[in-house]
Parts: sequence; C-alpha cells; structure tokens
Amino acid sequence: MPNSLASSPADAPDIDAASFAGVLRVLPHRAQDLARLAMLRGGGAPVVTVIGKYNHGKSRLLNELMRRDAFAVADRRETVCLSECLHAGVRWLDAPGLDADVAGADDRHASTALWVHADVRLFVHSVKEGELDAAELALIEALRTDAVRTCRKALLVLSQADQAGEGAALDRVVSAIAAQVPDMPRHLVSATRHRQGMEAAKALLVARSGIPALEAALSDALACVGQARAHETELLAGEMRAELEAIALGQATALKALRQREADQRRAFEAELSALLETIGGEMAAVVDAPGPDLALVADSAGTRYATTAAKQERARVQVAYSRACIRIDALLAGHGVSGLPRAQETAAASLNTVMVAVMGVSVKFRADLRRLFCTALGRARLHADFAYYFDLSKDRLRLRGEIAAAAAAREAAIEARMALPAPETGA
Amino acid sequence: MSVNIFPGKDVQDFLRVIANLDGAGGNERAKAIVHRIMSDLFKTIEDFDMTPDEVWVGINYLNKLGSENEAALLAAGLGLEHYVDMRLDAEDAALGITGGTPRTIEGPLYVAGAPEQKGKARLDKNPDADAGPLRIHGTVTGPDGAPVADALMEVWHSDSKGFYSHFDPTGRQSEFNLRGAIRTGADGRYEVLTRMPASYGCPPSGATQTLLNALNRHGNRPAHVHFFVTTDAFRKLTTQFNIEGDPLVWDDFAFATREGLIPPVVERTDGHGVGFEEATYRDIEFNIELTPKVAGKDNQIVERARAAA
Repeated sequence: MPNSLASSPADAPDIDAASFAGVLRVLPHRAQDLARLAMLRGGGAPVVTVIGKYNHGKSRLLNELMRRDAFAVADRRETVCLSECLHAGVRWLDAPGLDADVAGADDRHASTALWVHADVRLFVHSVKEGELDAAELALIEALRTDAVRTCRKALLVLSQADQAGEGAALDRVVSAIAAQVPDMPRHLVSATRHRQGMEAAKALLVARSGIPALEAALSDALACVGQARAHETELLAGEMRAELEAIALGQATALKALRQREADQRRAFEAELSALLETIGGEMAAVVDAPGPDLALVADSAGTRYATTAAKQERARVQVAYSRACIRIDALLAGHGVSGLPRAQETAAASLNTVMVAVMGVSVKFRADLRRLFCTALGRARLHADFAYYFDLSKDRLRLRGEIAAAAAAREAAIEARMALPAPETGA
Repeated sequence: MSVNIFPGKDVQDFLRVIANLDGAGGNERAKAIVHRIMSDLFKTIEDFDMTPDEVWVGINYLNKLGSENEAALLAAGLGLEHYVDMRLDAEDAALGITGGTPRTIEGPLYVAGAPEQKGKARLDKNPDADAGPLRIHGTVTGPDGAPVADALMEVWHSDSKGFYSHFDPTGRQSEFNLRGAIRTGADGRYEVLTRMPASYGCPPSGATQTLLNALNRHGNRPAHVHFFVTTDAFRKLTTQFNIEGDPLVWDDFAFATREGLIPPVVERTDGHGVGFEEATYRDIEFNIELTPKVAGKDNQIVERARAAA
C-alpha cells in the first residue's frame, strides 16, 4: 500500500541532520543540499520520483510500472502528499501535482521528493493537454541543469498517448513538444494500452504502449545511480567544504584585523597615558617640592573662619594643581571613551560616576599623597594600571572583544563543520 | 566697548516682562524673586561688561553642573547652604533661643532606611585597612539637661577613601556600611563603633572643582560625621562634627565647621572591652542638647530630595 508521508522522513530536510547540524548552522542556505547529502550517505534503494501536473496520469503510470494498483488514481487532484512504494529494489515516489495553485506543504513535499530523494526523475506530461506550458518548461530546464551538475537522470514521459486522438493530431503535439525540448529524449506511453495488453496478453499492444521502452530507459538510468551518487556526494561535499574553508579563512582574516586593532588601541592608550603621567609627574614635583614648611598641614582657627590665611592659600594651591592634573587625565580618558564609569559600578550620585573618581578617590591629597601618586615610578605605574583596568572595561573595548569572540566562534564553527562533511575521495 | 543701558526704561520694562510682574496669575513670590535675580544678573553683566562668550560659558557651565549632578555640591562650595544656616542662627537669636548643639549642613549623601538599633550599633560592615577603629558615644538631653529617651540618632560618614556607601563608584561598600540608626535608651545614651572617616573633597575633575579652580580655591572638607537627631518633643537636629586635628577643620570648602562641633579625640587602649578587635582606638564623646519647638512647631524642618534604600 502507498505510504503517505505527510511528515518525516520524506519531507524533512533533517534526515540524519544531527551529523550535519553544525554545517547547517554555518550554511543555512544549504539545507536542501545537506538533506540530500545525508540521503546519499545513508545509501538505500535508488529512488525514482515521478513529477508532473496533476491529472496527467502520474499515478496510473506508476501503477503500470509497479504491475499493481499501488497508487490512488482519480480525475480530481488526488496526490496531495508524497506517496511511495518499494518495487523491484527501487523506491518509487509519487510527488504531489506540480501546479501553479499548489503552495505550502505540498510544494515542500514535491520539492523534497524531487531534489532531496530522487536519483532519477520521470517528468510526466499528458499529450492530451497539448504542448508543455511555461511552468513545465521551467522545471524541465531546472532538471536538465541539475542532471549536468549532479549526473541525476531526468526522463520526459509523454503520457495518455491513447487520449490525444489518432495519427496526425498526436504527431502534431509530439512534434511541438520535440521543438520545445529538442535535446531531450521523449517516451510516449499509454498506461491504458499497457494495462489492456497485459490483461489480454497481447504482446504487440504492450509493446505499443511504450512502457517497455520506458522501462528499458529507466533500467539504464538506474544502472548509473551508484556512480551518480558517488559523483554527487563528492560534488556537494566538495562545494560545501570549499564554502566553509572560505568562511574560515574570511573569519581568520577578520579576527587578525580585529586583534590588531585591539592591540593598536591599547598601545596608543598606554603610550599617551604614560607620556601624560610622565609630564604631570614633572610638574607635580615642582608643586610639592616648594621650599619652606608645608603650611597646608597647619590647622586654622575659628577666628580666621572668614579670613584668608597662608595655610588656606597653600591648601588651595596644591588642590588646584591636583585638580588641573586630573582634568588633563580625564580629557585623555574621554578621548579613548574611558571617562564614564562602567554601568555596573554607577552610583546614585552622577558626580561620582567617573573613572577619575573611582581611581583617584575623593580623599584630600596633601603634598605627600601627590608625591606618592605622581612623582614616583611606582605611583605612576599604579595609576597606569588602574586607568588601564577601566580602559578594558570601556564600552568600545567590550564591543571590540565581543566582535573578536564572535569572529573566533564563527571560524571555529566553520572548521568544525568542514570536518563533519565527508572527506574528499583520495586521489580525487 | 562698555555701554550703560541697565538703568534705562527699556531694560527695566524688559525685566518686568521677563518676570511677568505686571501680568496676572502665577506665583507672586516667584515672580518677585526671579525679577530680583535677573535684575542682579543683568546688572552684573553690565557692570563687568561681560562678553557674549562669557555669558555662554556660564550657561554651558550650568548644563555641565546639572549633567554631573553637582548643583548641591556647588551650593555648599559657594556658601549657599552655610548662609541659610547663618540665617537660621540669626532667627534663633531673634527668638531668644540659645544653647543646644549647633546645627550645620546636611550635605547630599544621606540615605534613609538604615536598620534601627537600640542604644548601641556597629557601623562598619566592610574591612578598611586605612581606617582605624573609632568609638562615638554620648547622651542626648533636652534644654533642661534631662536625658531624652527614644531619640533616633541617624549617623553616616565616609570611608578612608572619602566614599560613602550607596555612593561608592568602586563598588567596595555594602549597603548601609558606615551608616546607622540608634534609638537612645531611658538614660538618653547612645554608642557607635565604627572606623575613622577621611577628609575628602569634590571630584577633582568635576564641575564644582573646575569653578573653584578659577577662584583658586580647593573643594575639600575636613573629616566629619553626620547626624540627624529626631524626637517627638524637640526640634530635629541636623549636624555633623569634625575630627579634631584635621588641618582642614577651619578650612572647610562648605563652611560647615562650627565651634562646639569639634569634640576632642582621645586615644584609648581598652578596645577589646568596648567591642573592637583592636586594643587601641580613638574615642569621641559627642553629647547632644536638643532645642525646643517654637510655638509647638519645628521651624527648622528642611524638605529636600533625599536618597532612600
């Protein structure tokens, strides 16, 4: 009995998909080729797919080839799902009718039967309908192109020869079709005559039905399936291997450029910061090495609350110098996108949400503090390290690192996907 | 080129239109104040012959100040907050209210919601190697010297880097570190174990310090501890004391230092006995004397935006 395959495996481009899931993720546009490759790897009986517009006698033809009524036959559109039958070591697929109004699932069934399953295609056209229409011509053209590429054979079957009138009328139609597809052998058949011939044991009628000649051509085509499958496996795997290699190479190139940019940015930031800290160190030395006692450390009194004192002046001098140094560093940070605090560290007080405040704190800096911070190699190294820490947490740097990770992952995925594909044949 | 147009009829009429002095509606007090502030600003521009560039520097500065959320900081630095305090003092003097612990500014870093404890609290939740142990204790009394029970002492101060919890960009402090709320017992006493705060200042590259740089002023404050003292019977006290010995004690950019708010710091060695891990610690006795309400009302309550956690 025909086996209706509304769902997997027949309509699923995911047959054996697990092994090719990685490839599919990298090459989503190759879903159909991967499904075909999985079919090829699985081996199995050769597949003959019958395709054509509905009511052109596909199912009836198949039944004659099966020698039994394996496929439902009707005047209305009957074959909406893919049906299949195993006969004489061959899987026969009756694809849903090829029609302009067919859309959705039927289309997918037909497409899967035609492109994923088929080793040999029988394109059926009823001569009573006259010559081939545009849709049929387009599909035949696609099948012939594919035949050149994949070595899968396509046969054109002109069916219902008994229903196109006699003699001249039939000849006209056949000639017209020959003119439409001049390079393609045509097999004129009549399932009805074959059935009558078989039932009445009339060898001549059977021979005139065209079915034996079609069977001979099919037999020739099926004999080539092993070789064709080997060719197609290497073709599809080879194409996708090349595609994956190109992707891996492209990502490797992108990765190298991104890493170079990452290193260049870091180098530029560090060089500028070092130079500025060096400059500030020199200027700060002049500020903190002022002669005389450090009046900033001498407390004032209540009586001078609203008066200007030497101690207040000294504290202002040191603080203003410190502030100006910080403003210069902040400008450098802003130039590299490092001025704002990482979001995770932001506080309710916007005034404190700066890298400057996080690194320097807001504690009061006296001469000894400034000397330690700016005028010693160790102090400058600490500031350098602290600012560099926030440089690495800045938005631009995080984005760049994200791009690097993505490129590395894409390269890795392409390499792994390539390894999942069949290896090239040795010596090929 | 210097011109003199301020006293002219056009400018004076213009000022009245700006504040809508002669129009109906609006808030009369707001109109009068805006009229005065704009008049003074216009006169300043004329008297100093300010250029358009200078005016725009000022306008853009306001945007920077706002974007950095430093308006309250600048208000402290330009003495606005202290001036308001001076006026409250003068009002008290006029009302004949004397005595009591001096009030001083609140600052912008109070956070409501610290868990309340009875009599005694430990405030430091995070280690701070640069801050030694500090004990603060005292008695809350009324104007008559009698202890006040159930007074709520809210305390907050900075760590050794000058950062307050909830406002620490390094992310090193947990919630309510160095903050507490202590309810006095029947004896009016409170006790706080914590770590020594640091003197700190405005963000060194921020809007406030940038303006202070133009005045050759620093934006620093002496180390200090903030208090709110709240009771049912007396006026709420907003104050802070400074740490004695800090060179900035009388050079506070916010002008918050007051006599009576610099309690002596005593070094003691019975730390284990009071609950510290260390034997040596600093001890500050800070007694609070509350002042009576005026005609049954607290005339010093300040409403302003405050953080809560």
